[in-house]
Parts: sequence; structure tokens; C-alpha cells
Amino acid sequence: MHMKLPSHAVVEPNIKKDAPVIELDGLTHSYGGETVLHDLNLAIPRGEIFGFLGHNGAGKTTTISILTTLLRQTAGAARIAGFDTVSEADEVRRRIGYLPENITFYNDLTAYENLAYFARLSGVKNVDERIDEALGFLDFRGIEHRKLKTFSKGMRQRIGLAQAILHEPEVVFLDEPTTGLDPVGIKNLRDVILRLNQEKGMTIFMNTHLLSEVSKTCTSIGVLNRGRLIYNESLEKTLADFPDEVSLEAIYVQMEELV
Amino acid sequence: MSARAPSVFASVVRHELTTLAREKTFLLLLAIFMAMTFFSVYIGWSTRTTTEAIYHASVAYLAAQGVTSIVADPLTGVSPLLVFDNMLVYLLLIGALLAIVIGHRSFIRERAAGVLPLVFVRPISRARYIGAKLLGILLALTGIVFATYAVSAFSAAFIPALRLPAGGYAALLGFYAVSLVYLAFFAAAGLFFSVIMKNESTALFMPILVWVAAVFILPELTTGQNPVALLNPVTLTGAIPDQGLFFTAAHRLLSPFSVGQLYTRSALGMLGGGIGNSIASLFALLAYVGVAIGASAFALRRYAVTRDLYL
Amino acid sequence: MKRLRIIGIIAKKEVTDALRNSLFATLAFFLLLLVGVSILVASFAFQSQVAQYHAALSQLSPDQLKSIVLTAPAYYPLQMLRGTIEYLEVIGAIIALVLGYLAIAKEKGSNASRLLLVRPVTRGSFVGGKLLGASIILIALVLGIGVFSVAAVTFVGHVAFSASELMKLGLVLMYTYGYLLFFFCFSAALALLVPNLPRALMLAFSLWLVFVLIIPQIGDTMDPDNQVPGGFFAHLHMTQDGQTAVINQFRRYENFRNALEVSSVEKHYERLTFATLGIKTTYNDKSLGFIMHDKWPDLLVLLVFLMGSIVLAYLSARPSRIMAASP
Repeated sequence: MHMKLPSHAVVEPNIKKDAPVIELDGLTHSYGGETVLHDLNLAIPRGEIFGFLGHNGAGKTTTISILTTLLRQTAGAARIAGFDTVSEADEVRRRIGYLPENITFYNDLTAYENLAYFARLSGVKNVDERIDEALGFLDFRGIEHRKLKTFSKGMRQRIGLAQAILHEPEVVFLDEPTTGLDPVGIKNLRDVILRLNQEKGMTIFMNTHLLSEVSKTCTSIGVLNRGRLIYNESLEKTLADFPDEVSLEAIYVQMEELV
Repeated sequence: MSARAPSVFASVVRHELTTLAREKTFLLLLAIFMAMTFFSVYIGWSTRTTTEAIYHASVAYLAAQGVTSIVADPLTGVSPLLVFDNMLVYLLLIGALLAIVIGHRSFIRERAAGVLPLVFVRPISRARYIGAKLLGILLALTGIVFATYAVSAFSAAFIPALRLPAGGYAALLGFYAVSLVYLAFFAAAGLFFSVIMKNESTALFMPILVWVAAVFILPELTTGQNPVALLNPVTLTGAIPDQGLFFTAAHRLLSPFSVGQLYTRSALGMLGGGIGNSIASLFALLAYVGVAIGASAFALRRYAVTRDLYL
Repeated sequence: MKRLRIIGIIAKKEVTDALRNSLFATLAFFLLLLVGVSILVASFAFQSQVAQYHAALSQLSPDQLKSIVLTAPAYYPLQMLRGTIEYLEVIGAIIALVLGYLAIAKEKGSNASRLLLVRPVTRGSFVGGKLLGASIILIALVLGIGVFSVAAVTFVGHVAFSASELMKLGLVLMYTYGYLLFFFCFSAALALLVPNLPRALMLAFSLWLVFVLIIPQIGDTMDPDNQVPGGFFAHLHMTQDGQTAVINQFRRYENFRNALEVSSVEKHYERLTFATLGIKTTYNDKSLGFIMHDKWPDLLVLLVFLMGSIVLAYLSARPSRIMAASP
């Protein structure tokens, strides 16, 4: 496993090194009298690329919102790097990066101004250096002084990735990152995710409904169906059980119907 | 390499001002407002000097007709600062709309860009974020109001007919300070509705309706003046004639809610042309601003960021 | 005819859309409320004038009554509508702006406009349909206000409208429809021409501010007679002849003031309606022929503005603009 702790992580959680970096402990959430997440239990070790599968409306975005401290669950607990997402939200926030679906950014600001703003909000010290580094990592230098309104969907997505990794988080959450991208864009995104994981040691938590993506990128998968976690295995084990994509798809459909 | 982390609070304030300065809608209204500020100097100057000349021409005409008892110049006792009173109308109208747009865009911009989740996954407290945003808005308003003060003060210094008496510049500054309070109310109203309303155009029109009520309806009910006449500074300066039971009752009942009149009363007081108690009006106005800012801060605090995630 | 049918279909959808739109409903309700308030206020103002007249009468001795002539305030129902007209000028224009904006905004940039344009809809029937829809809504609004204000004035003043008064009111409602349709077309054209939709709305709104509120207000502020509460010339006890003689010495100033006022469509509408309703007292109780003899240039200008805005809306309605996505 590739491990490289970010330099600015000063507060060390009081946990073992091999403890899971993302933990869901009986996580339950109700909204308007309806339970949208039922008792989720999940432990994702450091260094994983976790693919969170499910239909639209299964509860994937709600789960990510709780894990990123944007939403408070009604019962149960969630921990990131050992910190509780409710009581230690600020510690969690220092350790995560997040890319929501459908992000557009400030159209009248340049790429640099957009990124600098979020870098400062994250408490990054050497803003210019970090932006340059992040853009370099994404192979996206040279656009710093262009306004966002001139950017395509794919370019915005890269700015989105840049803001998510500027502060070198331990965990990066991506919500349906392939939406609206063309095949080349999807291929580039896949490469970036793999490199973030392998070169920077970041744990990735990715919401998606595309099976093909999961099998090409992820190291483990979970399937959420109507708020319940119905499957959670490593990709190795999943591929051993379902050797080709067609059977994977078939079983996915079957799993959805089971519940 | 820089090592000092820029303050998160300062970053939000700075961001607020930078993004505002790039908004074409805001710049358009600002341009109209500043153009009217310059023009208002001309309007004030030309109206005052022409009216003086008309008085002298009238005196000559009446004398030629053989009239002996001629009324003294009605403008003699009028405060020279009131030359700037038509600025009050532009603050009342364009200033308020400009303030509404500043408050409205402040939050709508974040919603449209979809960045609120990106802000709140970072280690900044809601309270601090709101404080920084409000300060940014207030700084923008202060800058605008100060620019208008500079225009008025410079023209008073360089145009002989507009020369101010001793203490005139301070009084003028007081007038603009009161105006800032009035603008802060509408900026806060713009912000408040942009947080609580789902639809962008409804969020813009709600504070405009509040403004219509404050500038047209309530003053009409309390004074019996027709709505458009209320935009004439002289109507504003003139004492409200006693108009019977209805208006006396309406005046007593509704005046405390009439934000537009609270502003005109306290602002005209600063120019030396007041009607009623201008200090009490100023305090009432300040109270309204407090309530409006409090309400928008509360709404922002309760805003569910995840609302924008499910599209 | 096929084209007429398409215009009818589009117009019908426009009306349904507007009725379902909460913003439009809120604004229309607000306007009706304002009309009610302004009529109430006008009637109370009149009643206090009457009370003042009686109070003045009772204070005068029979001897004084012989030398001092007090004229009893006369009640003219149409003059009660001054506030109503002013609100139509200001708020009515906003409603028309919103309608014009929505007529374009709800389709522009969304795939709905493509669905419309792949069907046999010509530019003429597109614009015609929108105009017909807006006309139905605006006429209903204006008629509603007309009926409401007649009822309100009759109720508070206990004086029925005469046939000629009703005719004058009818004419004013027609002018109002034209005035509002101008704002509808103007705002729709801006929504088509300006790529960014919220910006188009704000631009329409800014121009409304300048031409409806600010320019007429400048003219008013600069009026020498408005410099003293109660009137400058009245204060000096000047006769009408004296006023004219003095003002004639300041032609340049007056011309400038007038030039400002005539650049605003609102001022033409106001001059026309105030004369017709007798709010401008020199035209009170005069025949329509007498009023039109003086005010036809204002009617003409109003028509020119309206025609101009319709042509502008038609020229702006190019398919590429209707489909253009907002950046």
C-alpha cells in the first residue's frame, strides 16, 4: 500500500495505522418522515479506491453529504481518519477533499482566483505553490488566468479535481465524477484517480452508477439499494465471483431486484 | 515562499468584493448611480440659480404691475445644503436597488456556482463565513456611498454657487452616513430573500416589493400624497398638512414601519431641512437594519447546503 | 387558417403559463391592492378637504362671508384615479416587464424552444402568438383594474360615473394597455438580445428605473414652481399671465426640462391620461375632442414607442436567439 501522510496533518488521531480511514457505524438518516439510509456499516481501509454503486435516488449523495460533514445523520456515527463527522467536523474537514456533481464555479473569476479562494478557505499557506503543483499534477497548467466562463465541462471538472486536492487531503470524495464527460475525459479522469491513489496515497470514495468504471478503477465496491448496503467486497473477490462484465452487470441487476 | 497563512475571514471578505466587482449587472447599476450623482449636482445647482433668477424676474414683473407688497424670497431661509437634497431621491431609488442587487447576488452567486458544499467541507465556521460575507457587503456599500460624498464635497468646494457654510462638509458626511444605514437595510433584505427563496427571480422581486412598500405605499398612506409626488424632494421637505382623522391615525400607526420616511426624515435632518424628529428616525432606522441583518444571518445559518446537491 | 391556429395555440399556452406563475400572480395581486389603497387614500384626502372647507365656513362671520369667496371642493370621480394611474405607470410597467421576460426566458436555452422550432412555426406566428397571449393577460388585468376602481370610487364617493366619464375611463384603459404592451415587447426583445437571462432582466429593470422613475422625477424636481411647498408662484401671489410672462424669460431652462420629460414614454402616457381624466385641472370636464386637440402628439408618441417595440421584438426573434443557451 502506498502511504504518504500530508505534511500539514498535525493532529494525529489516536488510532492504529491500519485502522479504517472511513467508518460508518449504524449510519441512519431520515428525511421528512422517510428513512433514506438504513443502518449502514462499512469500514474502508486507507489506500482503497472505493466504488459506491447504486441507482439514482438510492442514497449515495446523502451518504457522501454526511461523510463530508455537510449533513447530520439522524442516528449512528461516521468517522474519517478516526474523527467523528459531527463532533469533530473541523478535524474531518482538514482531511478531506470533495467534488460534488454538477459544479460550475464562479464564471467571472479566473481559474487561479477560483482555486486560490478555496485554497485559502482550506487554510493552505503557500497558495501559489500548491495551485501550481495541483495543476501540474493534473497536466493542466497554462489556463490559470482564463475566466471559468470560457471552460468546457471537462475543463471545469479538472478545476473541480484541483480544488479537491489542493490541500493534500487524506480522503477524496467524488460524486458521480464522470457525468457529462466524453470518453477521452472519462479516460483522463480514471488515470488521475489512479495516480492520486498510487502517487499521493489518497483514499478515494467515489459515487457512481457506472459498473464499467468501477471494474476499471476501484479496489473495492459497495452497492446501495434504497438506502441499504446490500453488497460490499473487494474488486478481486467480485471479479473472481463474476469473471466478465456481462455477468457483473447481470448480478448487479439481480441484487437490485433481491431487496 | 510565503509562509503566513492568509486569514480565512479576510479571504471571504476579499472574495466578496472581487466577485462583486466582476458582476456586469452590478456595474451597470453602479454606472447609472454614479452618473446620476454627477448629474444631481448640476440639477441642484441649475434649479437653485434659476429659481433665484425667476424670483428676481417675478419681483420686477410685479413691481411693473404696480404691486407694492412683495413676499420675501422663499429660498432665503432655506439651508444651502438642500441643494444636494435631490441626491436623496437617487439614493432612495437607485441606491436601494443597487443595495438589493449587492445583497441578492452575494448569495445567488454562490448558489449558481454550486460552490456552497465546497465552502462548508472546509474548516471555516458558518458564523465566521456569514460575518465575513456581511462585512464584504457593508464595505462595498461604504465605498459607493463614500464616492458619492466625494462628488458632492468636491463640487461644493469648486462651484461658487454651491459653497457650503461652516460645518457644511460634516453635515454632508452625516447625510451620507445616514444613507449608508438605509442602503444596508436593503442589502440585508436582498440577502435574506436570496437565502430563503428557491427561485432566483422571486428572490429578486421580494425585496423589490418591500422597497415599493417602503417608498410608495406606506408614505402614501401616512401623508395622503400621491405616490410619484413623494419622489419630489420638496414634497419630502415640506411639512405634512393636517388632513383629518384618517391620515392622523394612519400617520401614527404606520409611520414607525415606513422605512423610506424614516430615512428621508433623518437624512434631511442632516441637511438642515428636516421635518419631525430626525434623531429618533435614525435610531428607528438603525433598529430595522439590525433586524434585517439578524434575519439574513439567521437564514444563512440555517441554510441546508445539501439542498443544492440533488439536481 | 393554419397560421392563425398556431398563433392561437401559442397564445393559449402563454396565458396558462402566466396564470400558473406565482411571481406574476403576486405582482398582479399587489397592483390591485395598491389601486385599492390609492383610491381609499384619495377619498379620505377629499373628505378632509370638505371638512376643512366646512371648518373655514364656520369660522367666518356673515359679514366676512360677503367679501371672501370660498369655493366648495367639487367631487370628480375620475380625479380619484390619480394614484391608480401612477401605480399603473410604475408597478404596471414592472408586471409587463416580468411578463415579457418570462415569455422568452422559460423557453430560451431549454430544449423546449427546439421542440417548438422543429414544428411549422414561423417567426411571425411565434411573435404573434406571444403578443396575443400577452394582450389577453394585459387586457384582462387592465379591465379588472378598471372595473375594480369604478366599483371602489362609486362605493366610497356614492357618486355614479356618467356615460362620458365611463367613456374617458375606457379610453384611458386602452392607453394603459398600449403602454404596458410596450414594456412587454421591450423586455421580451431584451431577453432575446442579451445572452445572459438574469442580466437581461436586470437590464430591463435598470432602464425602467431610468425612464419611468428618474427622468420624470428630474423634470419634476427642476420645476421652479415645485421649489416651495404649495407652489412658488402661488407663494408670490402671481397670476397665470404673470407666471407665463416670467417663465418665458427662462425658455432655455424650460426647454431642457421639457426635453428630459419627453424622452420618457411614461411622461407621454401620463400627460395623455391626466388630461383625459381631468387630473390636470385645465382639462377637467372638457370634451374628448378638446382634450384630443391638445394631446394628440402624446398619443402619437405613445403609438410610435409601441410600434417600435413590436418591430424590435419581431427582429430579435431569430431562431438562433430563441435557442441560444445562457452562458
